[in-house]
Formats: sequence, C-alpha cells, structure tokens
Amino acid sequence: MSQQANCPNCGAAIRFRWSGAVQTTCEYCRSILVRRDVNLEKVGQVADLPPDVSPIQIGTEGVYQDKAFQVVGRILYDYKDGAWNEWHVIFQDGKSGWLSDSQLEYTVSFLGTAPEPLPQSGQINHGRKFNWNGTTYDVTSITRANYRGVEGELPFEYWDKEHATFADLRTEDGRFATIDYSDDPPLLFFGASVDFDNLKFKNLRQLDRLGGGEKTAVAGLNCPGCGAALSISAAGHTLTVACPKCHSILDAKDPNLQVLEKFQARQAIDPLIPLGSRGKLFGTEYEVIGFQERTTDVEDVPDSWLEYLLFNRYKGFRYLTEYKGHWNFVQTVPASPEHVRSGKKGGVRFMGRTYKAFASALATTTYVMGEFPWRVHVGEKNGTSDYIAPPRILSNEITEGESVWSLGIYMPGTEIWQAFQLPGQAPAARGIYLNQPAPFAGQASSMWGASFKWLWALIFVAILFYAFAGRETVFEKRYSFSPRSGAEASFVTDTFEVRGHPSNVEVSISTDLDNAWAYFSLALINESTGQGYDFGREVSYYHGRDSDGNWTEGHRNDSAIIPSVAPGRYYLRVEPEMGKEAMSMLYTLEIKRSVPSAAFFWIGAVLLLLPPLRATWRVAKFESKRWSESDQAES
Amino acid sequence: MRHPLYAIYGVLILGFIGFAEYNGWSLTRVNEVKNIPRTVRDNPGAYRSHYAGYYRYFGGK
Repeated sequence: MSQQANCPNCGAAIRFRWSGAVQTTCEYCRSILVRRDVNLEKVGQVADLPPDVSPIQIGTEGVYQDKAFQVVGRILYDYKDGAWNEWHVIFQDGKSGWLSDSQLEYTVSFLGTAPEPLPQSGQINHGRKFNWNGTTYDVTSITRANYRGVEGELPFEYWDKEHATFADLRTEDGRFATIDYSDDPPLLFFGASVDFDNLKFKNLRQLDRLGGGEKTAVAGLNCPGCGAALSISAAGHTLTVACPKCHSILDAKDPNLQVLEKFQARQAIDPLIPLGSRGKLFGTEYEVIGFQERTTDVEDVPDSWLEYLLFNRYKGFRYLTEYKGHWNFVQTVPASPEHVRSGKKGGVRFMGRTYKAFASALATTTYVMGEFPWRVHVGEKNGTSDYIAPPRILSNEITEGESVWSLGIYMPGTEIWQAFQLPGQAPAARGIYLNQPAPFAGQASSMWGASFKWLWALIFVAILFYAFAGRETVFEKRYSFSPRSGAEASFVTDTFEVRGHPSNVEVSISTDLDNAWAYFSLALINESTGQGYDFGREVSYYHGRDSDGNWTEGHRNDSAIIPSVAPGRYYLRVEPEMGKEAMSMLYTLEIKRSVPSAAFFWIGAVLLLLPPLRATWRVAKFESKRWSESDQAES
Repeated sequence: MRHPLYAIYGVLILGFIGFAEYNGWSLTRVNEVKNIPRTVRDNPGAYRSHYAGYYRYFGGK
C-alpha cells in the first residue's frame, strides 16, 4: 500500500508516516482504520479523548540513544490515580518503539522476547523478581488500566479494548520492562527511563511552561468548604487539593471539587516558600504547588520535616524537603536499587554508587496544603528508609505495597532563597543532617593529594642538600692516650680553618676501645674571638659471651654536631679520660663542616602532614556526629 | 590552586628547612662559652670544661 490513501468513511486523505502501520485514525472524521490487504477498513470510531496534559503530540520528534524518532500514534489509558499515554514512535531505521509518559516521567521501550513463559496476570505480584538476559528485574507496580482511546498509527489492531493490566518492572540501574496483559499471551517490553532533556524533543505542544496550555490553563476554583479561592496549576495531573484555609482535602478530578476529608491541624503552618512561588533550580523553572508536613514518632518524640511539591509542565514533579534549615532537592527515580553490604552497614547500590543505610522510620502525613498528584491523606503512614552517599540521599517509601524510590541532593538554604527570590535570609541550618556533605571532606582528600606533592618537594630538597652539602674535612688527626702515664691529659689541637657561611660542624671520635670506656671533654674554640663550644662525649665498647650467646654493648665511635659555627680559625681542646684500670687507647678526631642533618627534613614532613591530618580529623568528627543520629549500629 | 593557604604553608616549611640546613642549625645544643682566655692554647689544663669530671657509668653487661 502506498504512503497515502483515502478514508473509507469521509474520503479525507490519509497520509501514513510509517509504512508498517496496521492501524491509523482519520484526523477528520476520527474513524479508526485498519489495513486489509491493500484497502483501509473502518473498524470503529475514536471516542472523545480527555483533555491532554502531555507535552507530546503526533509529529513530535526526539532522539533516543543517538537515533532520531518521530511520534506517529498513541494509546491512552487511565487508572485510579491518573492517565498515561503510550506513544508509538518510529525510528529513522524503521524500528518501532514506545514512548510512555506517566505524570511526565518518560520511558522508551521495545517489544522483546521473554526467555520463559510469562506468568498470568493473576500470578504476578509486587516484588517478584525475573532474571532476563542476565539482568534482574523487580516488579514495582501492577496497574489495572482502562483503555481510553487511540490516535494515529499503530503497529497492530488496537481499538476494541476495555481493560488491561500492566506489570512494571525495574532494575537497579534504571532499566525498565513492562508485561502487557492486554494481549494473550502477554507481551514483554524492555526499555529504560529517560530524562526529558535527554530526549531532545522537537515539535512539542506549546504549553505554558508552568501553568498549562490551551486546554490545561490554571483553573480558578473556590473551596466548597469555605469558599476560599483555589487554583490548580497542574491540571490533569493533580488528584487532590488541600484548602489552606479550612483544611478540606478536595477531589481535583471531580468538577465540583468534592470534599474527601477535612483534617484538624494542630496549628497552621506557614510554608517558608509560599505556594505559587516560582524559582529556577538546576536550569528548570518550577512552581511550588503543594506543601506537606510529615512526622516520625521515634520513642514518643515527634520529629517533623517539610516537603514542598514543585511542578514543571514538561519535566513533571520534584520536591524540596526542609529539616531544621537543611534542604534537599528530590525527584523520584524509576529504579529498584540492589541491596548490598556497605562495610559493616547495609546499603543499596544505584547507578554505580553505593548508599549506606542510615535510618528507617514510620512517617505520618500531619499537614497538607495545595495540590498533589496523588490522593493525599492526613494521617497516612508510610514506611521510609534512608540511604546516604553525601551529598546524595536515596529514600524508599513503601505505600500500599508499592515501593517508591527517590533521590535527593543536599542544597544550602541560600541557594533556595536565591532561586525563589525569597525575602530575607534562609534560616540557619541547625545540627548535622544525614546527607549534609562534610564541609572538609573534599578539602581533606585534596589536601592529602597536595601534601604528597609537598613531600616529594621536600625529598627533592633533601636530595639536593645531601648531594651538594660540603662535608668538608677541616681537621683530622690520630692520638693516643694512656691513663697510667700520669701526664696532663688535656691538650689542644693545631688550629684549622672553618670557611664559608655559618654552618654546622661535626666532631667525630673513632677509638680502638675494647671492653673499656673513655670520656672526652671537648671545646671548639675560636682562636681570635675566644668564643668556644663546650661539650662532652662518652665512648664505650664492651663485648663478651654468656648463656645467651655473644653480646656487645656500645660503640667505638661517636660524634657531636655543633650548630651554626661562624667561619674563622679554630682549635679543639681535648681532655680524654679513662678508667684507672684501662691501659691505653688510640683515637682519631675528625672535624667536618656543613654536614646535612635529617632531623629538619623529618620535622618538615610532620609539619606538612599536619594540615591534612587536621582536616581528616575534622571530617571524622563530623561523620561521627552524623552517624550518632543513625539507627544503624556501627558494629 | 585549591589550597592557597596550604601552598603558602608548604613554601614556608620548605624555606625554613632550607634556611636551617644551610645555616647548620641543629636540634642538639652545646654549651657556648664566651671569652675563653688565649692562655688555654699554652696551658690546656687550666681550662675547666663544663663537662670535666662528669662521670658516668660505663660498665658493660
């Protein structure tokens, strides 16, 4: 069949974007047309589709894994918590795929082959694991959906459906699979979650980037409970609205805003960021549309944090959480992180990063205000588990058997104030928050790197000194001494010249002592100034054999360093001394100037290591305080 | 440079060590004596060393 045909119902021209299309719809009379051999046959009529809040439309183009695609058709479903589109996309190589947008979260998937028979819809349950092609997939949600209509070109006939069940599965790294029970046997699709920006869309529907578009304008309403003016910015996505005046929770899907419940607030809470505020975070403009307080009650001590719901019509929902001046920018992640051991603690692995288990608690929603894309309920309890890899936090919430993971990144309050142009200053952060980055963490590691460079520099300087130090022998002479001779022991050496700049002088004594000791009273005296350096050195050397074997003690040689000796002519006064029982000894005196000393290099090494050691200590102290708040034992 | 203060600190440390080594500084101290009479040259026994008679135990094992 050619790329063009005529509608058998109204005669309008039908132009196919994809030659493989089995079904299409007439844009004029909205007939559902199916290819029968070379002809088009009308098989049904498209019902009026509900107002669309998706930015995608037939003809939208994008890129996935470096391949361009075009949207050529769609199937629309709804379920108890909203609606979603399965957009049929055709890639430049003719391959057919599916782009799903559910609450502005996007996945791309392709029909795959199950390596094993798939379970029937009644046999599948949340948490069940499948291993396909070496990858583990967890069932994260099972959705009973209603077929709401079709549009454009599809790769199969799809027009007479009512209900369909879908099981969504995730991997720890964001890969995705769906078991589609709308057909028998069920179909299996493999794909991945994709960020809006990465899809590089063109030809999107022109929507107000925040508030809505032609069909999704901000709705101005009045609370049926108190008459207060309300607005719905995320029309089409919002399921409940909480009136900030009378605390009624309203059904946003009901044209009359039916009151679902009314809660008693302990006290009204003024959000630090007012509802309706707009701010740019990470390059995207968001509007604050909802606010809730959630409270844990550990050992009868209530502890609350605040959550601000942010909305962008193209990129969906994000959250800002605030606890004692600590802020996190949070978004849900379509993944099922793998549980691992992280050191002695439990943890999870997500996108190549390990997060340590920090705390688990039961959180209760205690205050709500504004719009929510879920059926918010004060008093609702969710199990929460937090895993940290500062500045990131990965949180898991379990609700009615559904497991939702979200990824947060720590933000200073000043950045929030700047982004939303809030008056005044952000409240100062108190205490240490679980994923607050240690202020010296980066500093410590980089300082260690710098310290090793300085240590290399120090070694280089040491090598230079040892290589080029003078070690100039200025005097050397051999003497003998006998204590039994009765002669005056003291004597002075010949004078010798110490040249050059002030430097140290090393006086070395080498003896032939054998099981004897000697003591030398020494004075290095400047011949012209009379300035002297007075010092003594003992030398003793003993050896023998006992029941433990051979032993030795002491040395026959010794030396002394005289610091900073000015140049000039010197002589040495020597007064040897030995025990009266000793016979005699021969000894040599050697005097050298400018002898390198290792002591200062060792001191330098220690001094260079002090700053990184201090930074590391501060990090350790910070981490100790952080983990003191954890319910994860260190052991 | 990520740590300018540490860089200054490192330069000071290396400079100090270089200066100390060049000038022969030492951690050990010797007794400095001023105005030793020239007669010591002729009569060494007249000089009283600070360390003379400083007897120690030198016995072996």
